[in-house]
Amino acid sequence: MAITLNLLPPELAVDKKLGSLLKGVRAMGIILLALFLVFILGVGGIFVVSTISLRSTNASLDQLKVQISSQEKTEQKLVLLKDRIKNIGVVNAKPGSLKSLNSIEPLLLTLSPDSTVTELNIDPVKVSLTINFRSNQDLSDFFENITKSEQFKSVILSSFGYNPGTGYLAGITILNQ
Amino acid sequence: MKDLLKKIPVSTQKIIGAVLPIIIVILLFIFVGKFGITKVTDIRAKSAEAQKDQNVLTQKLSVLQSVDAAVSSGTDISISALPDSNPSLIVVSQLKILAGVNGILISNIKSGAGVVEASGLVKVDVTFDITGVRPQITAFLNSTQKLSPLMVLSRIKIVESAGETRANVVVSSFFAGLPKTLPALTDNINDLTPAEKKILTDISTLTQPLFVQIPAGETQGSANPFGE
Repeated sequence: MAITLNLLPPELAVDKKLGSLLKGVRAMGIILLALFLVFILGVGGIFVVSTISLRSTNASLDQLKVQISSQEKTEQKLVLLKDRIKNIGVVNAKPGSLKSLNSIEPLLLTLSPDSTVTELNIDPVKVSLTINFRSNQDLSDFFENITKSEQFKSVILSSFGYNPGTGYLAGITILNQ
Repeated sequence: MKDLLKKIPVSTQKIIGAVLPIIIVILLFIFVGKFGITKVTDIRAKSAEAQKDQNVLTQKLSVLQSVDAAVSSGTDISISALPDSNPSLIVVSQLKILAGVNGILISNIKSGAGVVEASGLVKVDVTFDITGVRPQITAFLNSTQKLSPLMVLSRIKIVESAGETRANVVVSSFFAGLPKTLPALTDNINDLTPAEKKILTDISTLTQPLFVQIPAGETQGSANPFGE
């Protein structure tokens, strides 16, 4: 039968429970140390790989910058062209009087040669005109055409007169759509 | 020191001996980890930014290399349509030529001072009278929209008497300074959009002014201007 000998002095003896606990703690310490080393290796690895990648990207960037600098004239032209086109777009969006003129012109062409447009004022918002109608027919045709037209927001008969010698004189204000 | 350690009970010494390495490792985790992660995060952010710049520059280079030949001629046409200096002289010249083509008489041409608009454009009004028959005047007014530089008909006042039509017209022409700086090297640049290409196509059909640029003289003066 084997005899268990404990040669340790009694003051150095540790409680059995504490001993197994300390054993566990030591094992945990070793595991933690191993994890720490893995962590350090991982972080170091990522750092090295990222640094190499950054250097390579920076080298590529420098090369691209040189190539773009050689295309500076083209870039200037493109920037200039885009700036002009943007401003031309602003000019094109400005309301003009031509649309109003082209809206009213077909109606004026229906007038007989005897009737005259004595005055025609056109701005981007409205058209004011004075027409001298020689005949009743001209007058009624014109007003029939203008009421049929869907190009205008409103038509206001601002003045109306009759002279047996010259015919009807109508002042009309038209607001554009 | 040794005496001090000897005074500590053996069990406590054993506990300290087992726990201390764990504490040291945890502290190392905290300090080295914080430092390492900061460095890695920093370099990865720099790398991501460099990657982004690389993508932008690659796209920019591709645009600049493949940009239409139309861009080259387009710049001249666009500056003609919207000059960088007061275009009133060119406008007057264009209107006079157009009046001649349409067989109408143009007179009393006046040009106003430039007015800076909120958009940054400078508006210059040119006022003039035209005399002719109404169809010709209408054709003339419509044709002003086919001229370069661009003009907007601001006001038209037409008076008819004895078969003759007289119109007082105000056209607005515009100019704007050229861009003075290029965008930053790493700023994105795009090719012309379809809308921009359409504007470019539209302005390329405009009638260009017939001004002749006289190059600076390179004549060699006489060595002795007073001699024979």
